[in-house]
Amino acid sequence: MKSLRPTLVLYALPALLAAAFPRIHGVLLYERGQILGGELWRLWTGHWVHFSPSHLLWNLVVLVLAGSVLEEARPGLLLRYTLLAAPLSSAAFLVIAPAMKTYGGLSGLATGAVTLLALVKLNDGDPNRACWIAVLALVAGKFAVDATRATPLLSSFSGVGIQVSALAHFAGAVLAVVFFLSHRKGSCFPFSGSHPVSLDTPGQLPR
Amino acid sequence: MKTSSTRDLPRIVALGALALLLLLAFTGCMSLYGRHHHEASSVVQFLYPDKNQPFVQPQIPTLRLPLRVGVAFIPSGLGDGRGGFYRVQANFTEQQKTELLRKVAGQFKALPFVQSIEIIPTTYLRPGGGFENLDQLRAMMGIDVIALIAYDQAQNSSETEASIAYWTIVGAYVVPAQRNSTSTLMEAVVYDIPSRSLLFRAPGTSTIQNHSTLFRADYFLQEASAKGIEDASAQMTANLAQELELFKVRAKEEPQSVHIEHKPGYTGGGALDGWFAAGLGLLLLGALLQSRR
Repeated sequence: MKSLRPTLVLYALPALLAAAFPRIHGVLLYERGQILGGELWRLWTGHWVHFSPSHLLWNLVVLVLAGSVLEEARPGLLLRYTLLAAPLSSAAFLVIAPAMKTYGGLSGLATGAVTLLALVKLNDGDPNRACWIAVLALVAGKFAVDATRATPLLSSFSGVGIQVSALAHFAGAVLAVVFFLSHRKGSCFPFSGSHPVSLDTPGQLPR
Repeated sequence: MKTSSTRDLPRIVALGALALLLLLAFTGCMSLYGRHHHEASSVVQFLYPDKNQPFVQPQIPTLRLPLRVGVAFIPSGLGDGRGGFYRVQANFTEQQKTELLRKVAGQFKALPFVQSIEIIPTTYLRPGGGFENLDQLRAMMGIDVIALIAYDQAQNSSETEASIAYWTIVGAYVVPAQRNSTSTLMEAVVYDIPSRSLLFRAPGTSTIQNHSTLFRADYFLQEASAKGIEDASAQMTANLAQELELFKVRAKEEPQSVHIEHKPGYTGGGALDGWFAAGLGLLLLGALLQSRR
């Protein structure tokens, strides 16, 4: 349960609060014009705004599942990833998708959290290697579906005026890979080849 | 010498004449109060005023999102059968119209794919203005889609058998022998102006029947008119909300009937689906079970 708490505090609580008070969406949402006008907090906060209950539900389910396992494996890693990936993916929207005037949703960060979890587990030499490879395949499958479908299968936005942003998922996953590699090179957690030793998880011994 | 019957003759004639006059007066009065009032504004008469003009063939609408929507009342008036119109005294006040337009605009405003709503004053629409008038509004106000609101109200007041009490004069004040009926139809039709295509429509109806005394009939009819408009408007706005939901589903599921395009400046949403969440859940569960063995 300890590992669940940071995920709930970091993602679920702010997202639910934002959903409960739709009037504040205007202040939080990623809005290209406003960000370029200096409202930089939107680079972070836009991810926590959702357009429908199902939009919020599925994003949170994925984040809570992946986030709690990741938090158990590497406490604090999810927070660091979120602090960096949220503004960087928003910056990617500014550069790559100038036509997207507004954006909302945690799915980019959720895709990143899933990718980061699988990479960390594979790097840790987790015995369930096949499972984590399957998780990465699932993420790749999501990219394929995004590329072929214009609307999500089950999560429905409030209207037809909102397009699913495949870029958000892609950016989240790419940033997770970059984050993972940079931490590995920078020895934030001391990986050593295929037999990692983690200072963050003192109970784990090299096999 | 004149007999008494000869002397009374002028008096009898005078009394007979007075009785006849009263009879005629009451008959006139009664026929005056068997009344009918009809006021309407028709979508068909507004869009297709001239029967000789070729029918405008609608095309498959292409909606460029987000939409700019106009909401307007069709000018009231009845067709004279020759392409002309004559206005009738309307029970539907401008204040009621404005309130209804605001309600309808509020429903459109709640839609995420609607960028802006313009409430168009009735004076901007000409009776029988047709699509040319809508094109002008489109150019003038920059709207793509328009919700036109039309109504039709017929009121009738007729005497029941109890109206014989009117002969007593007092009966006209105390006996509720007038049968009043008010039928109201409100309709919102939503058109895509460039394609001349009807996107959807939402009706609302109301029928009010009551009885009143002859001298209170006017008051009852006025009250029923306002109530009829209110009830039909409420039903229409409820139906409009349903139709908007159905239209959203149709726009998603039947792309052949409505083409959706996104203007530069769309809203993006990051969404994960149920299948992704379920797949991840199963894989994590599998990993958990395997690590416990």
